[in-house]
Amino acid sequence: MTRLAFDTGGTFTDFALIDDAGSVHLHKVLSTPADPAAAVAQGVRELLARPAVKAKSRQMTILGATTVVTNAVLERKGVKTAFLTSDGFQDMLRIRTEGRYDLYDLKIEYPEPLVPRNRCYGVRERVAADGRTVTPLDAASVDAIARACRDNNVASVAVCLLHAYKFPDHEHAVGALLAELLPGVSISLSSDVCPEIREYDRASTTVINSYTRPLMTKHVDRLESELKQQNIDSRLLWMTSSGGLVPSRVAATAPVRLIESGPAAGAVAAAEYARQAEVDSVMSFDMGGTTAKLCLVPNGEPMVGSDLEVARHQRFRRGSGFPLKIQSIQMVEIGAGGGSIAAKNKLGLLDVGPHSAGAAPGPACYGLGGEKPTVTDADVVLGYVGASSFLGGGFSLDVDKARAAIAVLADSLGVSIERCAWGIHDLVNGTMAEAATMHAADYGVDPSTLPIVAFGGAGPVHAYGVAKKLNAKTVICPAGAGVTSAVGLLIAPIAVDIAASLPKRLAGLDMVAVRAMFERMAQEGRQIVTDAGVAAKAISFSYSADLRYVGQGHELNVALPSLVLDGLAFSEALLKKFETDYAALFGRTVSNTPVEAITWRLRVSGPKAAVPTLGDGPKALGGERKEHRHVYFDTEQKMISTPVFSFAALASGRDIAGPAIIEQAESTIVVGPDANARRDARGNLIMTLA
Amino acid sequence: MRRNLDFDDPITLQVLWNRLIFIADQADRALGRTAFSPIVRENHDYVTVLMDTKGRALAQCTWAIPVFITSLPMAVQDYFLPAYPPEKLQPGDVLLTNDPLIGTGHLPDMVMVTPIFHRGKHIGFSGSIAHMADIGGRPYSPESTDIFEEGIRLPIVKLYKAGIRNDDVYDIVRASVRLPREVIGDIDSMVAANDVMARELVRFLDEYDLEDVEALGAAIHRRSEAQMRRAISKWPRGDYTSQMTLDGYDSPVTLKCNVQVCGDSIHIDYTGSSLQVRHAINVRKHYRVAHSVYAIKCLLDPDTPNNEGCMVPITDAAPVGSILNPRNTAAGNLRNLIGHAIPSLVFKALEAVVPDKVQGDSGGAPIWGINCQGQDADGVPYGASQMLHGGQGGRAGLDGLDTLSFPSNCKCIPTEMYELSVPVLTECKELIVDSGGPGQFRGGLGQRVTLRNISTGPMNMYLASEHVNEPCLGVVGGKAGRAGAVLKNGQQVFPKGHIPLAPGESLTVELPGGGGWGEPSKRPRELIEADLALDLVTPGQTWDHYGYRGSRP
Repeated sequence: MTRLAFDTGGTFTDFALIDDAGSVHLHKVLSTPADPAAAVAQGVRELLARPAVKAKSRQMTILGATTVVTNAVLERKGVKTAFLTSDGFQDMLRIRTEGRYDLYDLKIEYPEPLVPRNRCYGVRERVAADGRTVTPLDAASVDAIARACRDNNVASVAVCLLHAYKFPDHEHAVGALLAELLPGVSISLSSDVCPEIREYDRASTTVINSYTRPLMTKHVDRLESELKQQNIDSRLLWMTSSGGLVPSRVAATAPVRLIESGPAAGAVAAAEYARQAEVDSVMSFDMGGTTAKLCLVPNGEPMVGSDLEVARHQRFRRGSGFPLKIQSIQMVEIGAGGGSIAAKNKLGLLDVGPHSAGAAPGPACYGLGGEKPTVTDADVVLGYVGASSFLGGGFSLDVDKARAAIAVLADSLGVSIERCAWGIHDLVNGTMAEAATMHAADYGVDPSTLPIVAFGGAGPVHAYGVAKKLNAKTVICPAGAGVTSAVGLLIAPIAVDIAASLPKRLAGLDMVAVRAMFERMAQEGRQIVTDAGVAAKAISFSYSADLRYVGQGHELNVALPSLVLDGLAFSEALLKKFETDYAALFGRTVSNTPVEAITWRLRVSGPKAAVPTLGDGPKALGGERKEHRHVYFDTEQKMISTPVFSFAALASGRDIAGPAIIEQAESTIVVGPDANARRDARGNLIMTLA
Repeated sequence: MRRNLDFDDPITLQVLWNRLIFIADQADRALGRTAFSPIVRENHDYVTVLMDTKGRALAQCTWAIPVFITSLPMAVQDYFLPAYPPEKLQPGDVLLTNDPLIGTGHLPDMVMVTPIFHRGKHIGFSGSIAHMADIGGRPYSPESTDIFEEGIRLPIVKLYKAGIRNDDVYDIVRASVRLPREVIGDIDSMVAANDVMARELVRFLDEYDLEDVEALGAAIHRRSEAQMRRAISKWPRGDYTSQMTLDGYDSPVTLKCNVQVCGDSIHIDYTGSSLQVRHAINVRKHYRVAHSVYAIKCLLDPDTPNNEGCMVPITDAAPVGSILNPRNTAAGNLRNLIGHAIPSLVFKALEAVVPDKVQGDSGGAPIWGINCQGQDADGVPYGASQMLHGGQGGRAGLDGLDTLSFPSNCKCIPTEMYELSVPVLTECKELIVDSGGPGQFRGGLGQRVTLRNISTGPMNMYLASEHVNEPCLGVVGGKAGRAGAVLKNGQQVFPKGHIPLAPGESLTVELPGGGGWGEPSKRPRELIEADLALDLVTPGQTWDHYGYRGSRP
């Protein structure tokens, strides 16, 4: 059957299609933010109309990654939402955590809550931490709130009652009452969206779900009807932040799970490239125009966790955005990319970012009016990025403008243009390497042992420098650096994550209760994946739990031993695994302290899809070398004549000794003087550092 | 092997400096993730600091607390090094104290310092400070009248000696505190965090083939100090004074300051402030200095990553025997109640010099602390401290944020986490309408929190509060915010110290609103209307303070 993937981005919607003959076809159209389904429909129509595309039947699987949810939050274009919580806590969204993300800046700001104070309501009810009902649910208070919502034309309601992560009865009752009182209004309960302790985090997650849900529902409906109009019998699946695909029904009711849809697809692809290169663990490095994402992929799978933040003030300060507690591929986002602006700070030192030239005016070398020196300008001055080969030669860069922009800064710092450009390039590499180190250290991994998978427009340009700083020995540059997310979609499994908050000490664990809980979770998950077309016997289950020493507040996620073990053997095996992981991370274990499980997790997934080969295949020998140009390498302290190769024309198995530049349509690979590169049989380029 | 590094090169220095900050942040992460008590893991009442061989701060964790980051280097320079010069230190040693004189001015803060060795040479210190969940004595109470009532006091001890754990110290601590699991667990988290800094610093030096951090540290300090001096020299020379009255324990406390801008340095003189008092609100030197330095850095150079160089041009003094420089055995557990007001006092003095930089007094200055202690039906102790904050003062161009920690930087424990630790029901945690001080940019709102004892036994609440009689003042013509209040079962009670709650009884705290910035008459109409739309102010207040009647005739 034909499989088609689309990735709706801010500027472009990318497509990758595998037809009945197994051939891959790529396409790109301008996104249509007001109605994102329009661009998807257009792209599908254009792709299927291509004579080369062999799609006999109109039956196909369509896989989507989308920025609809993220952009609705960033641009504050969600629907009119109300927030309901336990009476007395209506100000939770304004009170936040009470901490400051910057110690010295007296003028810090936070994004305004998505629900204003006059649409936050208190429900008369209260459950204590141990589950006792202190105040029974007062249905009349819900009735009054519903009336106010109706008068205010509220389109969506978020409900987050205290201790509902564990005792959701009152939330369920409120949900049922609202469904009756407010027909047509979407209702999100915190115990469904995010059953995790810490009320502000849970409320924030539920509000974002509620705020975006009608938009996502509409998007899904529009797309389904567009496809029907084209006579396509589609099964539509969506990429979640945790790297699995879910059916439209789930995407439309829990859109918050799609908030990192595109980046998650990229991480899934990176894991696949690692498998192709026959390595277990890699660091995925996706660097674009304004941000970069780093993602640790240990043992072939990205790590999934539940710490996330969106809409940070000025995009990048940790603690300045809305917290989100959803299952998400654990990655770090850095507010630095090709468009980041370099400047001299008050101390007379060089700084890069946080400001970005964005797409307009863009870096100085774009010639669109930008005058401030950016990372891309530095890369052009250093010879890494070719003026005439950018975007496959479709967009020519102005080297003189790049030099002029850097010259002003170099003058003010009292250094040469090359030194300044190198400084910018090197500082950004330092930022990336530090973020990678911190991210790897969070999971007890030494980043120097990890090959780097580099993609995105700027990833391959900076990967060599980042690898040097990390002391990493291998860089993998996949074929098609620009369609990585679409590749991720084509191979991702259909998967759903289900969590249950059920704090239990490991000692004396009641296995009957644990098995019963997982059976309920499995049933729910099985339903969703079979609905999405996975055969019952192809479903796999992976069990884990978040564990900690009693008294701690942060947990470690640990895979569970077999559930058929008896209680004693099970808890002993689990304890052993926890202590091993804990010691690896923190250098010690804690003696004489019991261990408890807080959240139990189940991932129900179908098989991974077969992988398309994207390499264009080796061309005739001889056409591979394009030219020589002067390129700066720090080890030489100067510009040296360096051969430039075409990635597409490189024969597999051909060794290229650095220094060298290898140009792809969407990016450029820098191979340092102490590195070697070789294109492998799968079409990917493997760079080895001395 | 690298070529020679030029620490004056603007690019090299930035790359290396960023790395040192990153090392402190790595340790911060390790400490928080392994900690046991809510005050450390949820409030983030701790810091990590990297220092050179002389104990001068090189870099600190990004999420930091003013008093800790300044006290830690002062402790090493003035106390740890004289007691333990390098020849008395060996790899694997870990030094610990909670002496208020040496550290942060009160016993609950453990100060831990680990010497770092590289190629057989002592090259610096990693340090951390964390607020323990309990330290024996009267729990977090202003009622003590000398230091001996306030808990146990460890002089500088070797917690580890050449890598061997000193179990005697652990045993003493375990026997003296109400919550040994939390306290011992958090001390171990500090050991781990200091180890992370030491390990990562050595790795960094190896990578760049450096012997030590002396030249790098000197470059950081030189540049930071020069920047601070340059910024100071742009201010007009002169003496700028202010005065503030606080509730104190049982009688008002006056704070006075004279900010002397003398060319490229600043000296703050607190002469004229009240004498030291009998109860536990006396502010020791390190705590005072930390807030003097912090206030000036916020105004003059908020961007430079903090280090010793930023602090050097700023000095201060207070007469011996005054509340800002008490004699040695004075009680001081709740020194934050007075000390946290120092930045607001300094801002007030400088309101005419830098009106666009200062902010009104904040309802988070001081933090209000509620320590809940008791025993469950089986006699097992429970306890947890909650930190609460009023509204930030108004700022030039921006209203103060509601409920914000300032000048400290503690988060509030989530209600669900707090209620798992102690048998308390939080009945409300809500903003107080009209509490922000009027101004062109008004103060942030304070909050009301009601806590009820839902256990079957008695419960002890120990409360630290301020600004109940004296509200937070405005600056640049802004007006004061609403003062705070403390009620037991709805009735006003003495707002500090021990407040026992029988089963079913409740404690309500109302935290103050921040002071306003600028004349209220200049407040833009749109802001008044936005406040009315969100019910942050009432029509009565907008009429009284802003002369705004809206669309009414």
